[in-house]
Amino acid sequence: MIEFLKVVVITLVAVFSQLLLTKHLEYFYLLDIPLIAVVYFGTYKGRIESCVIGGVIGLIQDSISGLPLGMNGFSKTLLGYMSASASRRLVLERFGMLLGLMLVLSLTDSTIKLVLFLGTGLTIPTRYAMATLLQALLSTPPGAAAMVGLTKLDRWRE
Amino acid sequence: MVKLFRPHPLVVLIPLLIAQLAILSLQVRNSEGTTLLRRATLLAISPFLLAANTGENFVGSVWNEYVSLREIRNENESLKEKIQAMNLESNRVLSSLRQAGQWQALLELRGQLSFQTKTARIIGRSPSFLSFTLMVDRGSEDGVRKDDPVINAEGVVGRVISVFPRTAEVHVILDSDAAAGSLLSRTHLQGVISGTGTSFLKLNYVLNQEDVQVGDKVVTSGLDNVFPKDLTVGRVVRVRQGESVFKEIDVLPVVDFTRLETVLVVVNLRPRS
Repeated sequence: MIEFLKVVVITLVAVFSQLLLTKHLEYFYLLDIPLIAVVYFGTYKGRIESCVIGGVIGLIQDSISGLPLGMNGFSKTLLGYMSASASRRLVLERFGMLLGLMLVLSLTDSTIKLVLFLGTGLTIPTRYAMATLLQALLSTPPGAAAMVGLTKLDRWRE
Repeated sequence: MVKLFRPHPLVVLIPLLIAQLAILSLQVRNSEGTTLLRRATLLAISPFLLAANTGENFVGSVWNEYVSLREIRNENESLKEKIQAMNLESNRVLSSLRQAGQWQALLELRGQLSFQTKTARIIGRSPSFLSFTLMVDRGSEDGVRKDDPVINAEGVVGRVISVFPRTAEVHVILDSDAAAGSLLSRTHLQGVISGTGTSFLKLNYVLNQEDVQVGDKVVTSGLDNVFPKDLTVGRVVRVRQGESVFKEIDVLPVVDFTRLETVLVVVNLRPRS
């Protein structure tokens, strides 16, 4: 139950903090906080839970961002699965490894969304294409740092 | 302890991804107003549609070709039948014309001849290449007798060898046993024309020193008491010096035996009254 609440709280915080921060400071859209949450859940949860949580976070993100519903949903579902799979094989205690994982997943997220844009036949604004790539790069260091912090928080709680 | 069933992660992942795409497709429309779901569905089934269409076209095409071929074959057979009928008709007309021509020539010849003749139609030919005989539709009832000469407008045909009441058998001059007294019309050199069993005749008993040229006309001499005098037999086509005292002379008959249909049987060499 606590774990479920934790997932709900972190999800809501990630999604709404993104919304609120972007509202007050435009350039915060370059930071994909929900992505950090998805990767974080993937590092310690199973692949099934991770892809389900990722999918839900993605759908919520889509519903508040104005993007077509399913755009982030698809991307975050896959990323949840990927991060859970990676955590089974990689030692994520090291910051460098975490940073690398975060970078790969951020770029994957951006790529998937661009592919979906192309696949749906929507015209991609150049600004968005650049921004989503920039978002991947900029989300990596704070994402990795946030995950370290969350992991330490979990250990402290235990 | 009860172990809960836990599916493979991909079993969950794939339906989730499909569901996300389905949700996405319900909202996204392209410029033509088609949703992504419909587009994806069409994209997925289009190869099968294409294959089915191609197959249908192929089957249709084969069927059409088959039907066309059948129609063409029927038409072809019908046309062949028509052509055969037309050929038969054409042959019949040509034959009639040729026969009419021969009859006319015979009648003209008959008018010029001083002796009695009977027109006769050829009703049969010997099937063997070894004997050259014809059957004519005139016999003893018509006054035809054995050894009567048979001619046509072109020249000598042969002589009667067997007589029946209504028919007679004619020994064609081409036969190797046939012969007639002849002479070269240019030089009046006498000889005996005989058959060779081929389409050529041979003029015998002309001495080597005599003047014979290719193209010389050979006519009957009337000395054999069978053929009247001055009937055309043929033309010299080859002359060689013989090993004996006589020349070897090949003569091409003037009568076209392959197209012969009507003849005149000379029933009486005496002048007509």
